[in-house]
This record gives sequence, structure tokens and C-alpha cells, in this order.
Amino acid sequence: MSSIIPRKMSPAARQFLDKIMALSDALNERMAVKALIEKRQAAKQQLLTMGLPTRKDEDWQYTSIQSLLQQTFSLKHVQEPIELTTAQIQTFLPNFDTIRLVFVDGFFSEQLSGGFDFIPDGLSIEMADADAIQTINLSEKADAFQWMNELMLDQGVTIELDARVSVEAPLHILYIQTQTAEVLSPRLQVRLGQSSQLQLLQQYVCLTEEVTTWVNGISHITVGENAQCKQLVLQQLSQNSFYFNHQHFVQAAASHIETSYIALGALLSRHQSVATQQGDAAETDQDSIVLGRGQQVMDTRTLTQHQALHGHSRQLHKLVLADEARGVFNGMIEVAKGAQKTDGQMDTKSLLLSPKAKVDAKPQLEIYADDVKCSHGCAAGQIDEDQIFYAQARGIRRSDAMQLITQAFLLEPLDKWQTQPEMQAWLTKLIVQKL
Amino acid sequence: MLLTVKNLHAQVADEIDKPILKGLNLDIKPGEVHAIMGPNGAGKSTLSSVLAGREDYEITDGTVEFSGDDLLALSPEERARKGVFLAFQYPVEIPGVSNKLFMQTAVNAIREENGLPALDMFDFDRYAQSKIDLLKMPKDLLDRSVNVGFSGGEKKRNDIFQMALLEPKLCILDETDSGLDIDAMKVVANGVNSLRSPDRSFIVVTHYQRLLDYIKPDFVHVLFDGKIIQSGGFELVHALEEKGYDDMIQAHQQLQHNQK
Repeated sequence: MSSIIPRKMSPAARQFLDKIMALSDALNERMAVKALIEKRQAAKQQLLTMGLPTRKDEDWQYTSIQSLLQQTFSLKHVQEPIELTTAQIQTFLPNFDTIRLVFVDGFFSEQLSGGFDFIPDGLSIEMADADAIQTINLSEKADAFQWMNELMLDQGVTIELDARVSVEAPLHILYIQTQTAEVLSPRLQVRLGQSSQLQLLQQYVCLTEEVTTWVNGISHITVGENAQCKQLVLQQLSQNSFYFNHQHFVQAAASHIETSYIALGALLSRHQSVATQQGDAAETDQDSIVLGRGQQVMDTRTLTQHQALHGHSRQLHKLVLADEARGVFNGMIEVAKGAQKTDGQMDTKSLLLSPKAKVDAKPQLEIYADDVKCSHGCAAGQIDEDQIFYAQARGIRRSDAMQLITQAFLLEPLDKWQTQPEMQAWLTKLIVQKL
Repeated sequence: MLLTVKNLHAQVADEIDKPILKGLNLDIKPGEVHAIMGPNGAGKSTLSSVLAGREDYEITDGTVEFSGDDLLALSPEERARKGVFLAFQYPVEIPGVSNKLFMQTAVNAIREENGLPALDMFDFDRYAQSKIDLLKMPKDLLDRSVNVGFSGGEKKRNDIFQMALLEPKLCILDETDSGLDIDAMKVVANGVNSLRSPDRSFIVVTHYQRLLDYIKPDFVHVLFDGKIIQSGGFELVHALEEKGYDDMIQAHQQLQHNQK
């Protein structure tokens, strides 16, 4: 009988893992909930066996985690949440009504949160509750970052929406990091009842550009029959931060999800979105806007699992990369045997603003049904000189012309917010500021 | 003189030893309409591109003076700001950029050059509507992305609309009539005619005489092998129509031969 042989790790990987395992041990003493300790212990064993990914792993071929491994992180080194005023966080807030939950360094801040009047009957929000963090079980395919989330599991939010309830105001969860070298392992569980509707906005920011953080989150969202979920993840961490997120939507029949990812910050980021259509006639729309400059590495991944009849999925991913930034896109559409009449489409377009910027895009289809319509498109290039000259010939400066063309290219996925002009204007402003 | 072209020599930037313009001379006074005709490969589009400042071309000799400025020393946008306008043979599509934003940016760039305050969205709308009415353009023109999904005729019309908005001093129409049906051509010609004024000049580059029947240029030049080989009035258009370029070219070559 052979047992699983632990994977060999580089000294840097081993050292990094040892350090975060020590954080986990300390957490076990501080937060001695038996069920959680068991989970953290199991994650430890799992990580020791599987090790950390390297570029030899197919899923990590274009994304090196070396920059992360060089860091040393702490976990809740402040025992008390630091106090912020609403004025200090105003710059991050949209100018429209939301139900706002604010977490400062992982601590819920009641004072900064607001909009509770918009919470209708049938919407329940539970925080720092063991339920959210206990009931998400990682799948066999979970990667090392999900296990690291489990290893340092200390908090979660559970949102439940009853059948037929529509929440008018977006539910806005804002994570503000104020301490350097802190790791945050947020967990979010959302359950949408039949025919319910929810708009969810998850925003990750650092209080200042000087704060360096590591956010390593997991979200699990189940969407009931005929329910609708419009979700937006806004990643605006400081330019030296690290962001990993794994989100999974499980969709019942005739449910509709729209998920958008906007990545503006972090030195190294990786956003994985999974949608599993378990019921017939489900709809899945996924898009992303990625803007990278400097040395940023920005990885966006989608996995769309069509497992039932008449499934529909659409994707539009846009990347603009300047300087020496690197973009990675990996999109997989899986159509299971029997998932007939699936209609899946995926598009990725990248604009490279400098000769040293680079993108690796890998769209994939895996189809086991015979009556389906699936396609993918992938394009990468520089700004068309003819477009620039056309604008110049109208008196527009070259730099303004490039800005105009780049902006139009990058903002295309925002067209879907046309019915919410305030949201569209806010997102446009956030992105244009970074261009 | 608005424009003085002297002994202009130009070639494609990365194709050395293949001169296209070989000593071209041209003088244009304010208010004049000049037509440049010539067979394929004569250098017509090169002339338009060089005057507008396209970087694909290299000037090897000669000068171009525009309103007292050395035109060749200016960037394309500076030329546009000083009043040079090029209507493209193939107007370019810019997905996602609305005609409105594009032209508001352009109009305000020109206004900035002239020391005028920028037009806000409302003022620009009003100004643009007046031009749409003047040229009888479709009302939804401003809301669409720049040339995206436009037919060939619509693209050319859009260029004429842009010309009306920018109120340039020198309008260069680079084979604007190519690929147009007779109705679209009339729209383009009407646009040009309604923009004619004593302080606005035109260079109409074309392969065919048809557009010129509607525009009626003051001067007609025949371009061949990178030079103007004959100049005259509107009657030259009809001479060409009857005899084609061949007679004129042969006469020119004979003359050159005799000179040698």
C-alpha cells in the first residue's frame, strides 16, 4: 500500500507554507471552535500533500506566485479594529443607495456600514457566524489557495434571500485593508430562494497605496429556480498587494446570473469564477475588465459547466495592458453529455499598449453533447494606427486619441449597466481614473 | 496664398528609392477649388496623405507652406488645428467611441487652438444639430459609434459632416467619390458646395470626372508620375472625359523626350 507522497516544494514555497501554518496554529488557540480547528487541521494536511503550485502546473503555466512567496504575512495582528470615519472611506463609496456592509481589516464595522433601511423582509445577513464558514466544503478539485483560505478560516458572511423577494438596493460588501502585510481570508455564502432577485457588489480596497495586503477569498452562491443574481467584484487593492478569489455559482433551472470582475489593482491577482448550470434553461453572463500597468500580473479565469438542457452562456473579457504588465485569461466551457441545446459563447479581447506588455489567453471548449452551439473568440493587438491618425486628422492629440480609443475598448462590458446609469457612471469614473 | 507646394518629393517611409511624388508644385488661394485628377498610381492619395501628415510617408525634398507655416514641420493634429481637413478615401471605424464624443473632442481641440472656450455637451448638441440640418444628414448620426456599421456612402457623408463641424480653411477630399453611387455622390457634392466660401479652399482628388460635374472646380490639375503635367480650368475635365489620360500622358512623355 502506498500512501500519497507529499509533493516536493522549493525552499521558498516550503518556508511560506510553514509561516502561514504557524498563523493557522495561532488562530486555533485564539479561536478555538472545534469544528473550525478540525477544518484548519485538515487543510494543513492537504497543503502539505499537494504543495503550492508552480509554473509546471498547467493551470499556473502563465502565473508565477514567486512575488507572493517572498512576503511574510500576519493574521489579525491588531486585536481591536482600528477606527475609521465615514469621511475616510468616502472616496471608495458609490453615490447611490446601497445596503452597505463594511469590514475593516476583516472586522465588521457597524459604524461605517449603513443602508439597513433598504433590507426587505426575507433578506437575512449573518456575520462572523460560524455557519458560513463551516458549511462550505471544498471540492476535490480545490486548489492550494482555497485550502489556504480554509487554513486561515476565521470569518464569513451568510446571506439568505427568501423565495420571491427582490432586493432593490445593491448589497455592497466593502473590505478595507488598513494594515500592511495582513492576510484576509473572507468567505461569503449566498443562497437565493426561488424567483428572488439580488444585486451583489463586492469591493476590495486598501486604505492607502502604502498598504500591502493579501486577500484570499472564497464565495459560494446558490441561485434558486428562476432567481436572478447580478454580481460585481471590484478589485482595487494597492499596486503591491495580492488578490486571489474563487467564486462558485450553482444555478437551478431558469436562473440567471450576471457576474462581472473589474481588476484595477494588486501586483498579482487571480480571479476564478465557476458557474454550474444544474437546472434546465439557466443563463450565465460573465464579463471582466482588466487594466494592468507596471509589473502587474492579472489572471482571470472562468469555468462554465453546462449540465442541463437549453443552457445559455455569454462572456466578454477585456484586458488593457501597459508597461510590462501581464494578463492571463483562461476560459473553459464544459458541456456535459445530455446538456443538449446548450448555447455558449466566449470572447476575449486584449489591447497591448506597450511592446513589453503581454497576454496569454486560452479559451477552451469541452463538449460531450451533440446538439449544441458553442464558440469562442480571442484577439490581442495594439491600437490601430489608422484609428489614431483619423482622430489626429480631426485635431485630436495623439495621446488623447489613444485615451479615447483605449477607454472605448475597455469600457464595452459596462454597456450592460445602461439601465443603472448611476452605477455605470461610477464604474466608468473608477476605471477612467486609472487609465 | 493659402497653400504653396514647391518641388515636393515623397516616398513611402520604408520603401527607399521608390519615389512617388517627384517635384510637385501647387498654389492655392483662399476660396479656390482645385481638382487633382490622374490615373491610378500617379500619386494622388500620396499627396493627400502627405499634406495631412500621415507618418507612412517620408518627404525627401521640397516645401509646403500653409498660411505662413511650414506645414511639413507640424504634427497631423497641429495641421488639423490650423485648419487642414482630410476627408478619407476609407474613413476609419472606431468601435465604442460615439460620433458625438469624437466630434465634441475634435471641435473643442480646434476651438482651443483659436482661443475659444470649449463647448459643453448642450452647446455642442445645438451646434451639431445645425450642421445636420444644413447638410440634411440623418438625425441619429451623432449617437452611433464612429463609422461602425456605416455603409460606404454613410461613412463619406460622416466625413463631410465632420468637415462642416470643424470649419477648416483647406479641405482635402481624397477620392471621396470612390465606391459611391450617384445619390451618395450628390450628397457629398451638396455638402462641399454648401461649405464653399471665400475663405475656404478645396483640393478634390479624384479619378473620375463625375463628382466634378457637381462641384465645378475653379482649377483642374492632371497628376502623372508624381508631377502635375497639365493644369487648366473646368474644360480640362471634359477633355479628359473625351480622350482619357492616355493622350495627355503620351503628349507629356513626347515633350519630355524632346527636351532631352
